[in-house]
Amino acid sequence: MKTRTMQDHAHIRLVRAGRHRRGVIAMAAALVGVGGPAEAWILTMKAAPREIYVQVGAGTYTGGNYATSTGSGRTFKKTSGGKPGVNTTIDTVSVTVPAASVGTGTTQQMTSNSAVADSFYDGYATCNPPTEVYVGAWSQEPAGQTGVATLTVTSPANLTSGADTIPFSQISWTSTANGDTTADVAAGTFNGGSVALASIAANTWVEDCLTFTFKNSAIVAAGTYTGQAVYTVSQP
Amino acid sequence: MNRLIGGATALILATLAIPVASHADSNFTTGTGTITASAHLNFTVVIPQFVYARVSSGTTMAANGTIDTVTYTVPAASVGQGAFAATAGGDISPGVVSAQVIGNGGTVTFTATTAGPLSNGVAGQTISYAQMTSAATADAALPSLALLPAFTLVDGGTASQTLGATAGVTNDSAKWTFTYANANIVAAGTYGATVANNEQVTYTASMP
Repeated sequence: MKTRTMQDHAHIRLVRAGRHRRGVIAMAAALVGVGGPAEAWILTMKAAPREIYVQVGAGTYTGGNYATSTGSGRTFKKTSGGKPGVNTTIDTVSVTVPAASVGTGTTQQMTSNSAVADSFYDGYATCNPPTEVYVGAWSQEPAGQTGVATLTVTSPANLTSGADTIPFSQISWTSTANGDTTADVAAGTFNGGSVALASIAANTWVEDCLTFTFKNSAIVAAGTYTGQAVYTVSQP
Repeated sequence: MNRLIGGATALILATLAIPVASHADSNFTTGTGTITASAHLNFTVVIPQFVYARVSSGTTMAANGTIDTVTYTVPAASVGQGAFAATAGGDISPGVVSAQVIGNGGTVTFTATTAGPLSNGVAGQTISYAQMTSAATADAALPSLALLPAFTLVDGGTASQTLGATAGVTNDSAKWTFTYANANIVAAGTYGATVANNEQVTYTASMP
């Protein structure tokens, strides 16, 4: 799931060991993080009663963020008391294709109305809205449980404008995050079905920022085409 | 379902082994068995209406101000002796031009207008545009949905045709080959060559 640099491996070992020797680990992780290069991070969570969370664009956490972290690797330090909430605001990713570019095959950058930059994990400025849309998900399990959750996105076959259509497969995305060298959430292209985005280990928070593009490969009728993608985290 | 579910409710769900799901844009779910939580993202693509027309020199989906001139230089011995091919002009070859109409607002009305017959500047000495025949053949260089028919030009008037649309899109193209019918012996002179002598045909594509 992450770039396996030597430094990252060190982080993984430290975090896992930390469940048993937290004082020693916190110090070591801080030393690794100070002054280090940008790196892939692993956002760990404490074992807890079974629960999953997903956020796309707008989201809600009450009582603060989930945790505080240290270093550029955002190593878990302690929980902050924040709790996940329901947010019913659905953000929109859009593009207006210039008339002279319709169907020319010139890829069109999309943007959004999302204003979400910071992660509820620790308040880190993860994304650069409105071009980037925050996507995050996590799974918590009781101690000793190792179930792996999945994050997928499902789209209909087409965006529609009355009877006119544009295949959803005309929309692709890249995935990145400020300071993270390897995406947790896979880049891809809608396919009119389900696309796997991430596997989420127990007690892990994954997040990235998606930047969407419209392929613009065919001349289509004038209109405003709309459609909705559904991001689902599932814990079997 | 959410965190507010009481312990008793959670127990019932576990007993019945009913998958627990919730939907919003940030959301969370608790429980046993398979649990899911969903969030949504809307997508909008705005396609403006446009119409594009090209006859001879042009740039696909862009303005191009070049106006080409098709010329027939008829040898004396051939005057009035029947069909005569162009000797110059046309972006493909003499007398052969690219023609294309693209639009995305439904049916397109495509017209060709002349101000009058070709004149050599002498009153009463003209060649009718009806003598400028044209034929359409497929143009592989301009992929399209349908063949764009050529016009039968009208002196001092407008010829019109309606181009159908598929799923709101019109994209018709062709090579038009112009031929001078050369059916009559006419007075010597250069016919057309200036706007004043009605050298120009104006092609117009429009959508309602």
